[in-house]
Amino acid sequence: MNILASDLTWIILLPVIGALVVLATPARTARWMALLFSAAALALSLVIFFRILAAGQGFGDLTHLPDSIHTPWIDFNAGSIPFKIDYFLGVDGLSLPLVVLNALLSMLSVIGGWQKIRVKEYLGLLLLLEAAVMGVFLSLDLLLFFLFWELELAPMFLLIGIWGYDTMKHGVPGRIYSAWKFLLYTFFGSIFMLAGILLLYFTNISHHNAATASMPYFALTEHMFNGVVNIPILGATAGLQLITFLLIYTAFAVKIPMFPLHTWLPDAHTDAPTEVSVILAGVLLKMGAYGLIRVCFTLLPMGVHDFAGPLAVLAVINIIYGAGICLVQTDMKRLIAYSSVSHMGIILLGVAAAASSGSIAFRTAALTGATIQMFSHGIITGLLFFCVGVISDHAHTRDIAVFGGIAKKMPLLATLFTFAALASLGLPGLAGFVAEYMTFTGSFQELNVITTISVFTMILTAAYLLWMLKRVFYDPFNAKWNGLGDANLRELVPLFALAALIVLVGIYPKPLIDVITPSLGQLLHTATAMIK
Amino acid sequence: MVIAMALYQYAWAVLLAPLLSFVVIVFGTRVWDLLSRPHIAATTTHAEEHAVEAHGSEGEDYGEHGEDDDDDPKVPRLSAGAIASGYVAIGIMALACIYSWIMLLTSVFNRQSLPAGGIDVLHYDWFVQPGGVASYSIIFHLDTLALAMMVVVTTVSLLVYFYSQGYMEDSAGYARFFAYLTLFTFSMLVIVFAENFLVIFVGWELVGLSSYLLIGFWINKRAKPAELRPSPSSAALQAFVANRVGDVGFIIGIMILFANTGTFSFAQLSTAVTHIDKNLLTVAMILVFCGAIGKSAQVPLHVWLPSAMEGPTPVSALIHAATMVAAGVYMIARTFPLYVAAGPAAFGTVAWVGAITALFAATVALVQSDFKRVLAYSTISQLGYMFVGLGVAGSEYGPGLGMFHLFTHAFFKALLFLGAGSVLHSLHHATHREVQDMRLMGGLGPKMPITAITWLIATLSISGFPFFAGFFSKDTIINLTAERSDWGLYIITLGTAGLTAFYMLRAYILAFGGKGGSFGGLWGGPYRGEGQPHESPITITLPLILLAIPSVIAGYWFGFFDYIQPGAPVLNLSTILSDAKTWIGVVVALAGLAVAYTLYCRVDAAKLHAFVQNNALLRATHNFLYHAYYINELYDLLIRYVVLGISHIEQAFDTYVVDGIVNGVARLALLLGRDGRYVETGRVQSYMIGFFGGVAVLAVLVFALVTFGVGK
Repeated sequence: MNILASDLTWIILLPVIGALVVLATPARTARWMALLFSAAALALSLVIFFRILAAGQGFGDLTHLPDSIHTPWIDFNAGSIPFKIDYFLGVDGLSLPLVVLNALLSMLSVIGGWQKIRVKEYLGLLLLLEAAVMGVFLSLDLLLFFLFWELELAPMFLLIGIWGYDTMKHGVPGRIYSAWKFLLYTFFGSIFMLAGILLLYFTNISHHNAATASMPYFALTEHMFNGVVNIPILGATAGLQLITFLLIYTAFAVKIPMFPLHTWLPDAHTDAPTEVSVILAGVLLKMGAYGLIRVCFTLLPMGVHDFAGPLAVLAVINIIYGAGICLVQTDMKRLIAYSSVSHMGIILLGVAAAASSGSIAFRTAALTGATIQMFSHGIITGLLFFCVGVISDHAHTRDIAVFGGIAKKMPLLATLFTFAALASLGLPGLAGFVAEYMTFTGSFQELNVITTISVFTMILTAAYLLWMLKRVFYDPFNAKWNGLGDANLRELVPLFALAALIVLVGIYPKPLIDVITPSLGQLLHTATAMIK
Repeated sequence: MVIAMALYQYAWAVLLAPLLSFVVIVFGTRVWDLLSRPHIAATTTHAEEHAVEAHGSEGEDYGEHGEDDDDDPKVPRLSAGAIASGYVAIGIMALACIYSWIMLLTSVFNRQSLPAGGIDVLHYDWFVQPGGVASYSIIFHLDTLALAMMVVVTTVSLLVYFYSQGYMEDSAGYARFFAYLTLFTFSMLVIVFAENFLVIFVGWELVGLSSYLLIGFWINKRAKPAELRPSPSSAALQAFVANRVGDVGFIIGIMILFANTGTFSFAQLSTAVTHIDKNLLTVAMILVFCGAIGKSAQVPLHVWLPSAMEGPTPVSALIHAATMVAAGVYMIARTFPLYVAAGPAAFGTVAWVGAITALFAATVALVQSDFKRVLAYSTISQLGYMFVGLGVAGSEYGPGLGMFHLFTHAFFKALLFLGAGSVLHSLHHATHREVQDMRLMGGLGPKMPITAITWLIATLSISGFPFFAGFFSKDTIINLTAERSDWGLYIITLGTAGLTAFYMLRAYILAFGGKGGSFGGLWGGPYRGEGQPHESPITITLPLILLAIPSVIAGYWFGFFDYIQPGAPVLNLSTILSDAKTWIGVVVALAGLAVAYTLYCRVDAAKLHAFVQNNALLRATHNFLYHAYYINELYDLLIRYVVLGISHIEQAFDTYVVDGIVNGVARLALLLGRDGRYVETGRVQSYMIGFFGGVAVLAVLVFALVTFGVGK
């Protein structure tokens, strides 16, 4: 099968070609080329979406892919050990919303980054980043998945390291410090993930005598392991799935980020340029959450189940601890970064509840909520970072304390920022509410104490976001900002686009829920069969 | 019959009407308004999509004096777009109001036309699971309880919209104001039409949003510490967060019910709750009541309501007196069967929180000098009565008792606020500054006769003066506490009635009368402020006159309890008048009025002031009450030192412990790898080798161990 015949290949290739074209053309046309190629990728992802929708067969799941391509790629034997990596891409209801989200946020980031210095390299790297992330969401071969997972680091590292802010941290410019911190943290997790994937791969060879890293293969109950392992030195035993899960999950935990592996995030966000923050919060964190559901929960349900208790505790720490820290932040971006820690905790809560062993209906509700949270947090936090970016570009500072009453000078931006904050604090009618309400109400039956503690985040979230708005936009006007101008047309495009989407998902989430339901149904079905 | 059914089926038109106004204003007339302003045309040409709520551009350089301009920015003359915004809101609301009255009257005179359980008028799903378990659907529902509340909301909304034309006359944010008002009415109707806990929670949060936006309407206005007045933006923040505190309890209650029954629907819950453990159900219902405590400003979450008075006065009338704050009462009425099914502690909590709040707020209202603040505490107190009414009624009376007081209170309290607004508006014109202190008023009766007379009517109504609306609704509640032999509640509510009469007449005399006026000081007297106040324009006085009518006659709907819950007792004038308890209530109210009359009409204000100040005990009591028991100050300390303190500790933990370990591990790895040569250089690049290498060794080790372990 010709890999170029698959539209999924082109979703990854289009941004790559775009990046090359951008680097090859002069700056004036390069911007339009970047926009063109990112728009083409978005258009293609929407074409795939509507084609599957029109087919009327639903969006499928890992074992019933509505669109995929699967051909052998690397296949050789080292002695008696077979090494086999397939070129295996596919979409289903779980990955497709994230593919569209990535395409949308990348295109809006290109618009946002229009005026950057060294604009060609900047936009080119943004497009490469988009391609790598697309690869993560599309790969259905674990080793290919790992490849794209690592590939994404390079453009991100450069984007933070070159275009970031220069505020000194630990004796080096913040952008350098944060870029390295981001890279090292992720590498740290990746090593464990590789170990976990290899463990799965080789165990499968010894048990089933089949060399494959295909996710749909491992998603079938008959291919799952349920053995117990003796760890020689410690003399302890643990479930094989649990050990594999813990190894693989380490990488996702760093990415999500889960306490106590979260400290790279506030640094990366404060030092990254606006558009990179948007992508980072909107898409890169979702890679972790996606991995948790797609790889861990689907392939290793017993492992997640065994770890559900600790996971729930870590989730509530993420939620409450992250929200508490937000109250004392002085930098708008740092505040939103910590708010991401808190909001990503809600995904962990939903997954922990879904991995418990109670009523399937409530667990489905919890996991559905968590999955919607991936999408809605992406658009809401993207909007928040775009808004901060506008202020930061106009006022050249993000320090909350130096502002005051600037809604007077920036009425449109104040409106949109307020809108974004309200969406983030879970106001009904906007996307965040649907996700949070479903996750909390779904999780309560399994994890009543944990969920009860978690809902207190409603108070904290409202407090830190609205308090920030009050100090920045409202209250007596600080005359220092007399010359401040409102957002211009180019800056407003991403803001309005995301705002419209937030309202749409918030008022009528059914289309989105219908997309993800089949995938979640399949994985919960398998999980229930395994867990007993 | 068929026609009546169709009439009810289309009730969703009432729900969506204000939303339509909102959309038209935000995307249409407000954009038109902004585009027609010369200064900002350049930045708003692309403002078509003006998002869900529009914080407008009031800061334009139209006024002459800088500071006042920020407090309440004005335009010289409203643009056509702004005026159109007002007309759109009023016109559409008038139609909705007429429609809701037609439905109400049809259902009153033809009780059979509306099915007993009500009908669903609009329904769409979010997420449906097999068997309907743990499903999420948006369902709007119409029944008699909803209809009674709906006419209150649409009527008061219409009158307040109309009134706002005069009150907001040349405000720079005129169109934005109407956008917020319509958003509020829509949100409130979502609560009214809610059929399940999901929808009511949606409306619950949305009214919180409208309240937040409207309290903070004057975005750049300053705080006035001397008068204990926060800035509007602080007040808005406080209101939202205080409500959220209550909402946490609310949602935990909802989750307990949901987890045990798998449904949010009120109808399904009322049959399903019999399977829940009774103690758990009681806890759940008390938690649900927490939501009402926040929204209806009951102790201990009442602090936001007095601050909310920083919003424009029409807002105080509509949201913070007549409708939104009563949402808590409505919610309890809506979930009444669940409370009946729960243990007695659930209703007991409702009644006692209400009673304590009623008394507490009344004592604070005794000494307030800010015109709107008296009314704010009075609202808190009256809401307390409603909860007492709900708490003691039991299944025999149903939710009618509390709802009846909500119904009458909505009219006379809206009238009180709008009347107060009329006075403030007039004084603003006379003095060219914002005056809310009653010590700077006095003798306004002859200057503003319509306002004064309608205000007096409302005062008598709220005081429980015989044959006014408040007399029927409040005395029924007080009397029922006695019938239930709940003597503690009886004494508290009865005493509070006396206090209510006192502080309301006190406020009336301070504003409109005074020693030296006619009728023994009730009408006219010395005016203590500056300038020449005179009666407000017709846009302001007409709603006052219209509201004065139901402030008297709303109490004569004797079949109200039966309307809300078929089979409940019907009131009867002769029974009421032949009951000795009724006359005890009247005597107490008259006593309160008499004391107020004596102190404020017969005694010189300066003399009274001096007497209080010279008595240490009185002075201390006065200060204690004036600061509302210092509860706000206590909360400030709690937030500043406890909540933010914990946050600072978390931040330190994050920086020094979590991140410290991360940086420390990197340094350690470096130390081992490079003999510590570069440790102090802080070159982060060099961390990589040690860090990465160490981790790799560890990972390979784990991998090897596990693989060999598997082999065995």
